[in-house]
Amino acid sequence: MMLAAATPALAKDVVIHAGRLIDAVSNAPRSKVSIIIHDDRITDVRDGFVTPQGAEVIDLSTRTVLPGFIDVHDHVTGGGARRDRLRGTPEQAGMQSVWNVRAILKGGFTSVRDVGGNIEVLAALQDAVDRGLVPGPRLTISGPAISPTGGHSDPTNGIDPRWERADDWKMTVIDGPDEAIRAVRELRKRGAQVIKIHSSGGVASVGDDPNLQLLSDDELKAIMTTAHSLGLKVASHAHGKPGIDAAIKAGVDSIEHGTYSDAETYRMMKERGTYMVPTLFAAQEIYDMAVKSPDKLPPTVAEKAIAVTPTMKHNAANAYKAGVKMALGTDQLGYRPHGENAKEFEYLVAAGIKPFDAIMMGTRNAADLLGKTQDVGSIQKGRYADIVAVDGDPLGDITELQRVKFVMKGGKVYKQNGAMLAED
Amino acid sequence: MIRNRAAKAISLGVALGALAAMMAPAPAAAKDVLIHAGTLIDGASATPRSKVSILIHDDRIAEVRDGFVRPGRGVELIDLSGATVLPGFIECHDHISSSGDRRPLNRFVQSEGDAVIAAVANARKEIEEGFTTVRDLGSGPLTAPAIIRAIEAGQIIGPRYWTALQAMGPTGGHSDRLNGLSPAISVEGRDDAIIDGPEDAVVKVRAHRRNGATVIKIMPSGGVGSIGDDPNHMTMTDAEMKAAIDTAHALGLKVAAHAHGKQAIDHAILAGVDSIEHGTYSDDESYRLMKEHGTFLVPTLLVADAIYQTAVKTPDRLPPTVAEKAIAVTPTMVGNAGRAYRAGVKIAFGTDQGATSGRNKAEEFALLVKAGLTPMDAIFAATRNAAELIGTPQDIGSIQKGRYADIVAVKGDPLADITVLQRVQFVMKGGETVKRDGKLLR
Repeated sequence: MMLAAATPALAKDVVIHAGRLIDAVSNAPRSKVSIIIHDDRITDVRDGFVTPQGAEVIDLSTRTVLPGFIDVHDHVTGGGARRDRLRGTPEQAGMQSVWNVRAILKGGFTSVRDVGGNIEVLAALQDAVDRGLVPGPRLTISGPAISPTGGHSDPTNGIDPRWERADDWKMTVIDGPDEAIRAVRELRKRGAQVIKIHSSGGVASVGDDPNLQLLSDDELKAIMTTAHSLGLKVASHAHGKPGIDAAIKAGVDSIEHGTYSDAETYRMMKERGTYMVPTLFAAQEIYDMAVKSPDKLPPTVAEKAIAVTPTMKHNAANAYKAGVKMALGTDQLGYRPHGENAKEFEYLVAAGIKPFDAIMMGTRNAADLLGKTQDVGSIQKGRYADIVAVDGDPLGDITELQRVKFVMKGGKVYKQNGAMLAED
Repeated sequence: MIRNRAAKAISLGVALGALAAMMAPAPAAAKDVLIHAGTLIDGASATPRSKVSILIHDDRIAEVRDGFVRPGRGVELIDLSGATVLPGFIECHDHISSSGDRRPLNRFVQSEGDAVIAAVANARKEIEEGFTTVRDLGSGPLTAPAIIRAIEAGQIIGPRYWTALQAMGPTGGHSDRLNGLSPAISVEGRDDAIIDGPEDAVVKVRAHRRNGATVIKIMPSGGVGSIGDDPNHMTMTDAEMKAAIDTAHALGLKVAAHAHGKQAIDHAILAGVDSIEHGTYSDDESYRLMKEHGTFLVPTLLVADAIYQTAVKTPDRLPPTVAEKAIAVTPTMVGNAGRAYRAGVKIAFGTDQGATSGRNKAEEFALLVKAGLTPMDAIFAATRNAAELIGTPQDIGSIQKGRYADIVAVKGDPLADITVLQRVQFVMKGGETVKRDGKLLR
């Protein structure tokens, strides 16, 4: 990784004059602040507009400046190729991903945790982004999710058994702790930096029930122990309470979706510091599709979506009120073009979360869940210069975050005055 | 694979013969039935007859006489004196395991089990709609033989079937189940429907016959309801077509060719095919060749209409590229049917649309009339012409002495209103009354 990182030709100091700064360190916005950047990192944050000698000034004095946003639950290889188990090829997913990550960066997201996609495509994509070949957010990747036979990511669910794939489409379909351990090790070997599991069934899949716990307690334990000992966090997709609670007890780092959580669940999460990632955008997206064009969804999915979505919104509000740590995740499935991740802020606020706290979910909390608070998620000394700006006041109108005017990642400006720079 | 199956088939041959004899239904006591037909369209004469008696002995027609004769002792009288009586309809282009649901996921989701269940439902619907003979031009390797056995054993009701088992075409052609899929995908049985090279054609035709095929279906052009293949292309070589057709004919099997583009149509005719299915982009030369060679055209207007409606109203239910192809092809198919008819080409009736898809197969009659056929010629397409194409006019397709007693009746005059054929009131197959007063009897 160190070798692959792009090295700027000439070290140059840059200073951003921020009219208003939500730095994700303080609990209130600051006014008139200077952010001093050397190479790819922030070297100082000072009150007032100052200009160190020789520094290039970026004037954001009329704007609200924030840390680059972080989405901890996305599928950046999305589009038809990722969803289509039988027609999709890795080549298609690769091509699609290049467009997707550029759109995501354009939307102000400078870090994204991808929790499900072809691991080779994702590793290649991450490499290309890190080398500066492809404009995109910093990626943390899991590769395919671990699921039992018949679980949410068993690609043969609902498929006539006469169909077969010669590649390893069932690499992460495991049964028993031994296979679970092997899958974690295999994923890490291929480049995974986080492990994604499905402790319950899901919505956008055929035949599995979101209410049921599908990975057994000993499988969950084996996954957590192996992943944690290899320095990997574990994110568990879980809808039903049994799947949620079992994953928490086994030591999972985050619950994704978390639909049917209850007070006991929230208590356990607080006790153990487990994150909740509500993914309201995906819930809304699949709900809309179920209502408007159900034929585009596989059989049974529309019914599941209509049942699950309203409950997911309530869970987000309830978990928030209970004081559970929460991070922002959009779970973009590829039904819509990528790049609209900031809609999640709006959905979170609509569910009852304060705008400021919604922003924390997409910045410092997300960084904490990634285990990268020293690098991303806030505007303070030592962090990467991942910085965005909007025109108005997002605390007054959260949809401002969907109109990002300025994007910097690692000290490099990608978007200025609302437009991507030509070279990108 | 094929060799292993052949060996197995031989070793089981004797036992199977014995089993078949045991399973055949015991013939009931000889039965005589008399039908009084108010109006008779017999599938042989060009004009209807009035007040005719049809005498039936067991499963065949013993005699057809003018006037209403009195039933002799022990003879059952069926009074259809207020109805129009016709030969049971013959469908020359069906897919008996098709539900008509063309959503893209179905081909991955549906198993052999689903195919059989769909076929049972289709068989019942077909006979209910008055179709006493059906030519199945592709339903998978196992479904049709199982359905045929069940019908013969009297376990379920359904028409007489001719079956192609699976249609055969080249790699990347209309019968290739891997079209449009990731190259990592495979599916059991795919190769059985593929012909690459004339030698392969010979082997595959023989294997189909061994496995129960009673007609051969080839795919010399691309199709509409599939991904990636172009209906305008000729996808098989002359040598492949010739090899398949010669082998089939030597084995006493007729050959149907799915063909849209002119080149595939003309070359299939020259190779000796018995019918062109769809025939969309035929021209005057094609018609001349068809007449010269006695080739039938099966226009399949119902499927064209059904896919067209889906493409316009609910395109999400079709795989990618299919909606565009359907919208391009349908109007031409309708025009072609009318032109071929006026040119004097022999037309046989075929819908290419599963019976349980929500459309009555007999809508094809109305579509043929709309395309320019006279009502009587539309009826001939589904009776004597279809019987000639299938190759058994001595058994089916007309109400004459010696034919199976496959007879239907409708209220009203189909020559004045062709849609009355969509409301069949009475169905008899092989002397057994299956439907009476608009209701199935079992």
